[in-house]
Amino acid sequence: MVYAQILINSILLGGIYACIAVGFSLVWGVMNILNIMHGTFLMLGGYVTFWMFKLYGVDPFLSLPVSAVTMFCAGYVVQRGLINKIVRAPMFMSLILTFGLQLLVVRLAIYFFTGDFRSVQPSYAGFSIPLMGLSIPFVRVSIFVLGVVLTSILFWFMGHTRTGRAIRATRMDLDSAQLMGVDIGRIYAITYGIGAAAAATSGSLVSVGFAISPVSDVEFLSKSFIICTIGGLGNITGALAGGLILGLAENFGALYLGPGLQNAIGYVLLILVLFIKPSGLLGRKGFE
Amino acid sequence: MFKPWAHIQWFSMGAGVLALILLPSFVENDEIRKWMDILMVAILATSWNFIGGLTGYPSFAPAAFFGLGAYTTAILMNAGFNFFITLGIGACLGALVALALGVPILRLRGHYFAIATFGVAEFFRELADNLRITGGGDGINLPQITGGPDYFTRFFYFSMLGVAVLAVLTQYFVTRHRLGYGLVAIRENEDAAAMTGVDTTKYKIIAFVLSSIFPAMGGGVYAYRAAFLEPIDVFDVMFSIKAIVMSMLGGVGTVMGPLVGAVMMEYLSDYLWGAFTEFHSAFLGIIIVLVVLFIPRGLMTLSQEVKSRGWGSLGLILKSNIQRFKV
Repeated sequence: MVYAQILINSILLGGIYACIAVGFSLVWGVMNILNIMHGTFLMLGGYVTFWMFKLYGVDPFLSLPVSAVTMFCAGYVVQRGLINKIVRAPMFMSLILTFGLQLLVVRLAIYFFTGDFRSVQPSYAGFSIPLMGLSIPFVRVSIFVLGVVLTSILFWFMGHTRTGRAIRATRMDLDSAQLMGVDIGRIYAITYGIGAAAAATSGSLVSVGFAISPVSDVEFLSKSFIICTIGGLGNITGALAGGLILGLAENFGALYLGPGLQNAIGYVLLILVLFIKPSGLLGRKGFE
Repeated sequence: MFKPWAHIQWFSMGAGVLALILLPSFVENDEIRKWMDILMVAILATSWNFIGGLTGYPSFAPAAFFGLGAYTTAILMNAGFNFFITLGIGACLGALVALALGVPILRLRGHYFAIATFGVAEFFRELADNLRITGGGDGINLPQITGGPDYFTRFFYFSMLGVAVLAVLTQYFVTRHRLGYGLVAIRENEDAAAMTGVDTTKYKIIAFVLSSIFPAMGGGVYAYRAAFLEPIDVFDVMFSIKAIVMSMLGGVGTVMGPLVGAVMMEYLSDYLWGAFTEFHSAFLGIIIVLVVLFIPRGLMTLSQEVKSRGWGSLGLILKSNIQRFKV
């Protein structure tokens, strides 16, 4: 029974992890940017939900669109105004640029929000569904379902809309896409905006089931590193697989090795996968 | 053959070292401590330059080796070893770990290499947080140094200076040796370098090992000076970031660049926002953004361009820098 409970917890956690990593995978896959700001957008999205709940009593699941739209705009501006200037530079430049922005934003967030850990506590927070002797926390299930739905919408968007196709064309060949009349600067800004919106959405979800603080962005960022590396870049199933594997490894690792080493397991997995199959377990060729 | 330029370089380097040796005789302890911090980040930046600047592999491992060296010194000094011997053991341990890790992770390129090195540093931190020998999350105490503040400030200053001089001299000889040219060839085009007979795997591993030795020694000096270590302090990713940013500010891939960057950055942070220590990291962030956008090739290159085209063209140079890589 303990194993069944841990299995369910792992799957629920894995779904959230996948949701966290999707935006990161998109930005990395399309623009070859290792987006250090990803955790920061996630954290800010969580704070949008937190403050709307705290100040106006808005239900956390209703404030999702607000957090997504504000962070889409923020991401769009950041990409258009700053990152687009150095897109063709060695890939390392964009990494260090987003790191600089992350330092700045996190510091400001600590100033305005304080470093305390916050969590949204709606009235149904402690509610859980009993099922055959197992207890399934209601909030985590909702987060899981919403995460999967939103990821599917993104998947559909990438495959079936004009903008989605332009994004994929840009990923395949920057210059050819430009010759076909794609406005690269705009497409890049939209892609980055979508990445930020996805991060913010998962941040809003995380702020309900877990806790956030301005400095927790690094934690989610390194989770994204691990998930994308395990699962591989270039498709959403990769993020899903990576998320599930990490969720399982962390929960079962905590059971056997003690909770202290829970985070270390992720890094061991990361290094092992890089050693055995650097393109990730489900990664497609050409996305290294 | 008489090469005057080489002599001028030797002369200026000697003068610089002499000035740093004489510095403690003229200034207050506070100022000595400041220069000790500058030397520490200069060690990190110079070491990063081996793998990140010359070879073009963006490593986030300096923090890993810095922490490794710090904990080696802490544990061995508690066991009764002499301080300088622990520095040597720390350096050897750093080199061995770099060798063992370098074989798998130097096969990776680009972002995957960056993530792997980041993962290594974080893994070490988690390990130090959980092992008994490191004292876990509670931290570990070191034996206190005996003697007055005048004595131990100078003792740590000269220890740091020694490591820094060693690092810079090593870098100087590497850049003028076959090895250095091989590394630059790998940075410019790894496949082409392999084709022309550079043993890329061996060269990259040597660069990675070199980039690990000096941070480990610097970490040892830091540990003895701090007298108390916590995993979060010494395996801090900010050590890696500072090393990278200072190299970039001065000029990646040159011997002088990281040194210029380290001095500039520490002095800037001291004078511009010494009063706002709380916002130190925010200002660092702004500097990073400005450097990446406007002087991506560093102050050394910028000063050469300004020298050849005159001060009037500074704006033009900065403008062309920001437009070079845009879409």
